[in-house]
Amino acid sequence: MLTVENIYKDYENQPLLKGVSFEVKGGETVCLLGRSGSGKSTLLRIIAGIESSKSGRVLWNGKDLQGVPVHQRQFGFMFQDYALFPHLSVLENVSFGLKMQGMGKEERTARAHSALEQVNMGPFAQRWVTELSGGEQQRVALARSLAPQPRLLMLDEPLGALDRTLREQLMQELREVLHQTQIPTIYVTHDQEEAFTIGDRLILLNQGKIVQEGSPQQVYDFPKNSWVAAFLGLTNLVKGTVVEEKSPVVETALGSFVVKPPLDFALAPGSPVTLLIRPQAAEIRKTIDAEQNLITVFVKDCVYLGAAYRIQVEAQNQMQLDLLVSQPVEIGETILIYFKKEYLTCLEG
Amino acid sequence: MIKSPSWKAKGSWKSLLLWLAPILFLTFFYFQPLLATFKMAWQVGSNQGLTTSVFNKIWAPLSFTIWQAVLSTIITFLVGLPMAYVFARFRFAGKAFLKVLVTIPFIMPTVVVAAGFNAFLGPKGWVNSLLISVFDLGQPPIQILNTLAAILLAHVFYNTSVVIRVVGGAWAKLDPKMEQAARSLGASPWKVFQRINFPLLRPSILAAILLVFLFDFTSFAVILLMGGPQFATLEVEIYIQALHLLNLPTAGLLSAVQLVFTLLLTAGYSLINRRRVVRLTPRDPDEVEKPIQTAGQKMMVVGLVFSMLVLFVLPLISLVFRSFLRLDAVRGERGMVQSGVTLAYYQELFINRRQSLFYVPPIDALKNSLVFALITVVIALVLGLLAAIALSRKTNWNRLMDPILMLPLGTSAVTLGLGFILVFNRPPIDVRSFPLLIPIAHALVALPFVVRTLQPAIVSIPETYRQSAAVLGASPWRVWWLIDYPILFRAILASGIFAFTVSLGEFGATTFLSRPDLPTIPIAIYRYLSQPGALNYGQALAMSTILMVICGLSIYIVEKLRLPDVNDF
Repeated sequence: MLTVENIYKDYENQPLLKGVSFEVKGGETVCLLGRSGSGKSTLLRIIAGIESSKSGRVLWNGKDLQGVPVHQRQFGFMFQDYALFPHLSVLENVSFGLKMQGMGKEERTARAHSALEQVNMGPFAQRWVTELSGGEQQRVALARSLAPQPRLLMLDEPLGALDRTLREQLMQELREVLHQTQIPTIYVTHDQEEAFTIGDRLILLNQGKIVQEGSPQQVYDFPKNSWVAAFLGLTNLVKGTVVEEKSPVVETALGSFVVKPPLDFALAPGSPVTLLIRPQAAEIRKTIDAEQNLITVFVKDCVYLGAAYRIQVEAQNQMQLDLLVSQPVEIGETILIYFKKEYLTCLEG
Repeated sequence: MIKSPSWKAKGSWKSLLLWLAPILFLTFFYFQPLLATFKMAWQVGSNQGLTTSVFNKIWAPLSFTIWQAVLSTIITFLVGLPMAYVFARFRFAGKAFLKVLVTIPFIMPTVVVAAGFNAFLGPKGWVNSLLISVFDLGQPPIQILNTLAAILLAHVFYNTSVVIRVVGGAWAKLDPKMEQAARSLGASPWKVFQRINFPLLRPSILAAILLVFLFDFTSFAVILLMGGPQFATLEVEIYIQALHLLNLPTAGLLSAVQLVFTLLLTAGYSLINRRRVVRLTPRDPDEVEKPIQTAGQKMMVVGLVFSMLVLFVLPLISLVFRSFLRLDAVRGERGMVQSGVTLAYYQELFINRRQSLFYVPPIDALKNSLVFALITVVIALVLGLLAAIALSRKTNWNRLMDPILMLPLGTSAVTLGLGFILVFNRPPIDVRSFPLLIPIAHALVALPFVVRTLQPAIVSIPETYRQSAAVLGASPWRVWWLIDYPILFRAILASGIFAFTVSLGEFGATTFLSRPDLPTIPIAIYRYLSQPGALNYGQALAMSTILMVICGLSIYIVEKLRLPDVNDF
């Protein structure tokens, strides 16, 4: 089990990591999610021992790794650019770590072959890595990290260098491979889709601090604050005040709304909150048939998505909302929208 | 991405450790001799004052040095610029071969080139021999040796390739779309050159001018072997004063003058290089080169190929042919001229005809040269690797150390040789009893090239390779051995071969340092060339041919290695 305790790190005299602590348990895949510059890659390099922290500890099964050099940590690390050794063949790349363990040639060749099979690269063993496509390189890099059966696997934006279609395909493969191997994994990415597909648990990092931790569903259903919501692409955020605690009601500039009760904090009347309106909350109404959760909006755009229509509307105070509705509307029309309460969430602050 | 700052902080004193050996070496074997030279010059100046006699001693060789260098530079550019243009802008068959040809002068020892021109156009060269036998002449009709023309010819041979590489290289990086844009904006072809191409090429042209001038200014073997005794440049005069007249003070004075000039030229060159403001990026040749279309273009390309073959290949081929050809009276058979193919000159290499203590069989010179060259390779590679590794760690030391490392490049070999004589004149390190000074001097000459070849190769290895290897369990030493070393291998091999050929061909410093019983091949070639007789001449050509073949093989191997991103200078 990996324990990261209160890591601080400066970069060019600016604090980059400000007291980060978390744990990774056996068999789980943890996704470190954050924008570029949030310090997530640096955190990974500190765990690997490639960089040192200003303060804080990295422990493996309770043993402090301070002073244990990179090559003795028995961790795996896959770089964004893969860093495949250009002077070695695919097989030699994959068996490199096994050779470092002092394993005999026959055994390490067999092990490297099976690692390559695992990522569907078996027939490529004798190729030069410089002849491979981006996706093939990615697979080989993964096999190379897995072959020595590291105690912990770290992946730094492993799909970042690939185009969209390839990324989606490899994302699924990666998920399956990680499930099979059961090696505890830290997966760094800025892409929420990747994080949601691959992670058993997400850790969101912003400005050097952990903002939220939890399963993909917990994070998506109950974003901790407006930064998390915005990061997840949820942009319909409205400031408001709690009016009622039981079957909670929130008063905003758009009107008052009955909302879904939050998971882990109480809504004290009078306290400020941010109302998150999910796009699928919207329902078009013909008449004013409710006192709450109903607003009048002006349609600015309407795009057909196949399953639904995405509309962009302007409410009072020039507030822009992105919504999904089931029927088309005219641009320039003024319509009534009802918001279902199960899609309305309150965020702290 | 974020570079590791901790590594930088640690690197500071570690880098100093790396620098230690190169710094000590340079201090002891480069700066010490240089200082001794200046000290000697200072003593002459303060004892005698700047009298007219002292001034005259300096002025005559200095003015001739400048004069021939200016003349050589102008002619080199008249020949080289059109070649650079055609080379950069046209696609034609055999271009790859010509590219290899252009590298010949970089690596071919001066004595070989001098012997080549001698075998081509000299009094016993095959052109004259042919004319004599065809027209039954008593005198060789072409009298080019020992004239200024011979010197200029050799300089053009050497430095045209500098123009082609530096200016042509920059030309090949100019985006042709700029020209097309300028043309569409209403500029004539001449205006395009004047307003677009020339301003962009100017820094490269300037750099090439300085470099060619520097090479012409410090050329030694060419002047000595092709100009003969009446043409004394500073280099030749230093050599004559020091080794023939044993007048070390005057030699020191001249050497100091030479040093001032070369250091200024080197400083100017690196200043220009640093100020090449417009960064030109490498372009796909397909984008820049165009196929030959008009008859005029065809003429240009044919002209280029022809003149390059004449300039670069004919002298060397002449050398090989002439070394197998007997055209003169045979020993002991006065008047009888036998002509035909012979191996005699090569067989003679194994025989000490003079039975003299100081004249060893010529083949021993080859042995000496190979041993010295191997030692040079070891010294230059060890120091060069240390310095290149240190340079590739971006620390504050670099700004100071980089130019210092390049200084020997601008220092003439004769100056170096004289400096060694002035400093290392008592045991245990004595020029007369410590032959290791020869490879040490050669390593000094080779070091800048070694560093310039290795450094970009080291920098080009991404840090993530080393980190990946470390994560996979490789200790720092194994990372070096399994990652850095194999990736650098080709660059190490190339720079090693380069140091090897530099040592094999080095003439200037070696004339000062070699003992009569331990000659190197170039020294032996010089001895044989400057003695009369067909046999001596033939042996000189035979040895030159052997040296040429070794150096040619080296070029071939280095070309095959295809190093990426190696700077020309």
